[in-house]
Amino acid sequence: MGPIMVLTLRALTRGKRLLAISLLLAIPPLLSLLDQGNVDMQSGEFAMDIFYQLMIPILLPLTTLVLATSALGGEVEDGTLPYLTLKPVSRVSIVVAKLLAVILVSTVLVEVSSALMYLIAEHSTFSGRDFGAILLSALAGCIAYSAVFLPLGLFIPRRGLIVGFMYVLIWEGLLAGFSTGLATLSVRRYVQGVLEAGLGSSPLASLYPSSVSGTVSLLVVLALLAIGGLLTTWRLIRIQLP
Amino acid sequence: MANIANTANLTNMALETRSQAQNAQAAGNHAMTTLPDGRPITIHMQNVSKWYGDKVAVSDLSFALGPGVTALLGSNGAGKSTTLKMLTGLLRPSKGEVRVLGQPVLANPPLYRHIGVVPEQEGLYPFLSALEFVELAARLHHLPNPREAARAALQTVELLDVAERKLGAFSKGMRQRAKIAQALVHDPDVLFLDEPLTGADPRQRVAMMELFTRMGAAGKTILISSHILYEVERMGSNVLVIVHGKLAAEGDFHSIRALMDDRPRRVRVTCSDVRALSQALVALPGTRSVHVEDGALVAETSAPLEFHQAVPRAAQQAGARVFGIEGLDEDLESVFRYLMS
Repeated sequence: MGPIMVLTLRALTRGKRLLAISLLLAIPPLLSLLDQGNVDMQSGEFAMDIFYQLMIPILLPLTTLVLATSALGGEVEDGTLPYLTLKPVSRVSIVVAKLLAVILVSTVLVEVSSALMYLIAEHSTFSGRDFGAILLSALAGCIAYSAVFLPLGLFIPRRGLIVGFMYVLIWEGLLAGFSTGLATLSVRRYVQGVLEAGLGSSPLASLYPSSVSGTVSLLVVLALLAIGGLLTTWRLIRIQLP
Repeated sequence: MANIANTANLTNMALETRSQAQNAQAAGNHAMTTLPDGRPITIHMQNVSKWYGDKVAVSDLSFALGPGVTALLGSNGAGKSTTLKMLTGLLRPSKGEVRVLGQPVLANPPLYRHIGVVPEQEGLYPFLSALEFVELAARLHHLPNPREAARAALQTVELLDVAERKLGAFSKGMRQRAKIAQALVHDPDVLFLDEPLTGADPRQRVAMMELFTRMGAAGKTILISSHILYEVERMGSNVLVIVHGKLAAEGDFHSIRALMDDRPRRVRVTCSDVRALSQALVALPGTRSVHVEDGALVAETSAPLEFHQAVPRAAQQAGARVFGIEGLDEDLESVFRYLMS
């Protein structure tokens, strides 16, 4: 598992892909910088707004989408997958290595962006609880979305990115925000659930009322991780490379 | 004329007979572990077919191979790569069974400890150096000293001096050698190579062919696909010829080569007087038939070299002017078509 994870980490953290993601994730800290001096909002509210409205539904899923679809889908497209599957390595360990690499890279990138955004916006009113809630929910989001998008690269390697992009923009970014019913079927809701649970008794918690408990949200994230891993393994066992 | 035809048919029959006998034994009896010549069976395909929708890529292939070099010969699109992919587990047969070293290939990762594969795909990890790429393979094989094993494999394919260079900067021939190195790093018992000499320069081509021949002589099973007769002649004493997804011939290369050389060829002659020249060509030794096609003469001859030399003199005697002589059956595809017929 180690060599495949190192290989994937190197593949994911190179070139234009990383540059594009970094530019995307530079938006929240830049917004925080631009908002310096605004005293109209409650302490911590600005950073939390950006995280809640922009990072969770759009930037976080897009980041994991780009990384997850290229982790295995890129190998199919580039013709390099046989160098992993024609070795005495179980399919499960290939998938676990790929999944861990995607989660690690996306988490580092999203956490750095979120932390910078919060620290720039709220450096004078820093709350450890709010900061921790942001980091925790970012981690949960990276895990959940990585598990959702990893199999996409194997099922539809050529169109995985575009299909995932439409899903993020239309479902997670738009429709899931309109009704509670639709939100139940979105990953976004459970990432927000983790955030709200992390905020606990913070004054900000009332601004982001929770519709699911933190425990349920965490269980859903873990379930997505298991389902995504199993689905990817199942596909990797059956995939044919003509 | 008739003798030549009979010889070709007899050779063909001999090859088919040998092939059928081996295949019948190999395909029909799982308990059989050796070939008729006593070598152990290491690669075994039994009634294997592969189709995609209505398109049949490989049809009812059955053969058994043992240690040594075997060349999988066929023109582009004949089904060589599909066959190799089924043998290595990259493709699932639509029908039939594939076994390597007595074990099923599909869903059997431990078997890859004994198998090396040079895939057809050209893609490599451009950000890895040659050493890192081969070392990755060594680590995935859980070798005790992956770095040293990788260096040894790179030495074998003469890439050690550029081991630290990124694969993205390699020429096609160097990438092919890096692929061969990763397949050799764990000293496999069975080696599958899909057109491994593509892009190699002539010196490297010879070196690689000698390497495979040595490995075959040392008891390794090497199955190497190629559409180039010269390569096959240098490496493979045993040949499987695939045409349109079917096994056209199997056996010793030299017998098949003789069959190929003895086969009748068609020669197209364009001239000023078709009628006069056709009578002169019919009289030439080796000519089987002559007919007119699109205003030109098409002759079938079993002695093409002599025929080419005799045409100008025959034309002179017939009072005709020759504008062109063109062999119609010199490509590999026509050789395979002949074998199939």
